[in-house]
Amino acid sequence: MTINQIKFPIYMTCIILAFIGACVFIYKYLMNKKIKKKDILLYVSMIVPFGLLGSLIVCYIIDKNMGLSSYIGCFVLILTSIFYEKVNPSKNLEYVRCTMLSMPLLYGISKLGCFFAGCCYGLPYNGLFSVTYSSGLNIPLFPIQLLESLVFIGLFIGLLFINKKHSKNIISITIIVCAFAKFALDFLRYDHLTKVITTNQIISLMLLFIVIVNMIRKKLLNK
Amino acid sequence: MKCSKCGYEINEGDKFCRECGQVVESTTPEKEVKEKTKKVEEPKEEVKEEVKTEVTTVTNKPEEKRIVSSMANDTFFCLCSIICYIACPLLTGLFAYLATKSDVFSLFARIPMILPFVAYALAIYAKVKYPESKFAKILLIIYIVLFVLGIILMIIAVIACAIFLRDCLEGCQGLGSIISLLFG
Repeated sequence: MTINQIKFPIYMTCIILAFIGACVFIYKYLMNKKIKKKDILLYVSMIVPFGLLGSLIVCYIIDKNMGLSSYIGCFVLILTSIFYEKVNPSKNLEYVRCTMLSMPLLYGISKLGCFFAGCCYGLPYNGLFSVTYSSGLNIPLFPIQLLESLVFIGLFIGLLFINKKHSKNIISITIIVCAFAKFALDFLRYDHLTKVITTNQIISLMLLFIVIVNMIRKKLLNK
Repeated sequence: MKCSKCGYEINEGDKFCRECGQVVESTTPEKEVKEKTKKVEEPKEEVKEEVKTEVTTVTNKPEEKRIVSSMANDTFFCLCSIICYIACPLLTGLFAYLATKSDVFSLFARIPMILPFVAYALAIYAKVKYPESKFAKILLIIYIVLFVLGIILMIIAVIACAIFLRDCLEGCQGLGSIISLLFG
């Protein structure tokens, strides 16, 4: 984004805002669960370096290209929450729960950065709200980043309400809902012009399969 | 002895008044029993106190051993953390040098970049498991300060780049290009 001929790092700003939002949510959630402030601050101090830098480093190791990938960031954050849960256990896996609940918020806000930066763009589209990136393809495109942002922020709000009633299964519900949304919205991305199914969709399907099988297995074991 | 209710003369040892049936309060034997039990209880308490002092003196030594061993454990984790942190640039440099000799090492050059996170995780583990450990506390503070300084330096570099070069930030890889600019 250019303001007064100076390029403003809007992408980085949105990523940082996304992490700040997630940290604030995690802090408030854990304070409501009456966890000690010291433990919460220690956990939040892990979220930012592990989530942000960790995903950058893992992307660099796998791809030799330093960027941010949503699923890699998600896995790194989940591993961080599981590690902290093992080291400093809480009742009902609160650290893992709040991290899972914060994922859609994190993704939703960071997608705004993608919209302004001009990456992860959608299919060619001439209708309402189409976007043209003059430094990129220079054709009108579908604003998939805005749609993903709205959908995932909406999912975050919805999951907060669901958490009040079905807090036992909230981790599975969050994974199912977010993976399904990601799978469905990926069809509107520019990558689908050349591919039948993308890597993100394969990962989404695998996650859906694993979680649904796990839920069925638990129900059968309970019976 | 007279009955407390009707005043009829009661013989010693009688439990009830023969006139009105009032229960006679046989205080003297009970009092004596109570006093005796008190006297018996007092020595027991003294014995208990003595036993307690003996027990505390005996168990202090294992507690001291436990304190010493926990200090050794948290020092161990903190030292491992420091070693991981220092090893990252050393190993990265070593593999980068070896990569110039053979392409096989170019894959390994990127893996040591995970070590600072392992170092931080070890410091967190030491702080949580041994909350009284000052070493773990100081180490965590140092890591957090280094991380914050790194972020501040990156922001300053981005702003300087944007003002003076004007074209170092482009596209979705903006953040990656900044980092690659900083670290070569």
